Amino acid sequence: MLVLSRRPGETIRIGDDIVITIVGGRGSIKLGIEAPLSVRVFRGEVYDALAKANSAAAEQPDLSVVPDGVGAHEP
Amino acid sequence: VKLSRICFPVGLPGFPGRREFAVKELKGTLLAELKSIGSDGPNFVILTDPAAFFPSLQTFRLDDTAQEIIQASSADELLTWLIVTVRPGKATANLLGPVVVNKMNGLAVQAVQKDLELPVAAPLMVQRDDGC
Repeated sequence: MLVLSRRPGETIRIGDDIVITIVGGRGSIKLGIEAPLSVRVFRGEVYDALAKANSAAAEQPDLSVVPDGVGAHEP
Repeated sequence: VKLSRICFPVGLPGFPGRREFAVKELKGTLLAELKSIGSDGPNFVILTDPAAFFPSLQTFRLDDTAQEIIQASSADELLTWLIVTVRPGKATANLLGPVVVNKMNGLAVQAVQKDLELPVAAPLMVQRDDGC
């Protein structure tokens, strides 16, 4: 069982479609989650950070703007 | 990179429905392109040799769920890539969510480093001294 500590207002993301929000209570709440291994469980803020980073990475125009030296083999 | 095609069985955060990507090496670099197959995007640039830029980084962790998704059985079978964000004059790599690929079957997953405070946008630049 995966155990995550959350505070009111924080979320857990189960797969890509389910968000659980802690809406009440005081202080830190521990949640135990059992899910199939194929279902990914994230802290909401981690999922959001990755989704945002992935979207930014997918928007890049073309590789002619890659700065010199990036990704080049070391001499 | 030897794989020409990879599959993310559960997609990537932000792009859950995009599974199939073509892998195209960018000659003379440690970069490759991941191009969506069957749709206009997303397309990504990846760094295929993270250790070349981040030598101090310890081995990335692959949790049980991620292992299951790519049917990983041995660390020897895995490749770790970093998603690169390119902007004019600036490039960063996502260390929080490396892409781990099982080279035996082409299955891939964005493996979240849950307990580590790794950045999603680490600067990716080669420092060169003039005259060298």
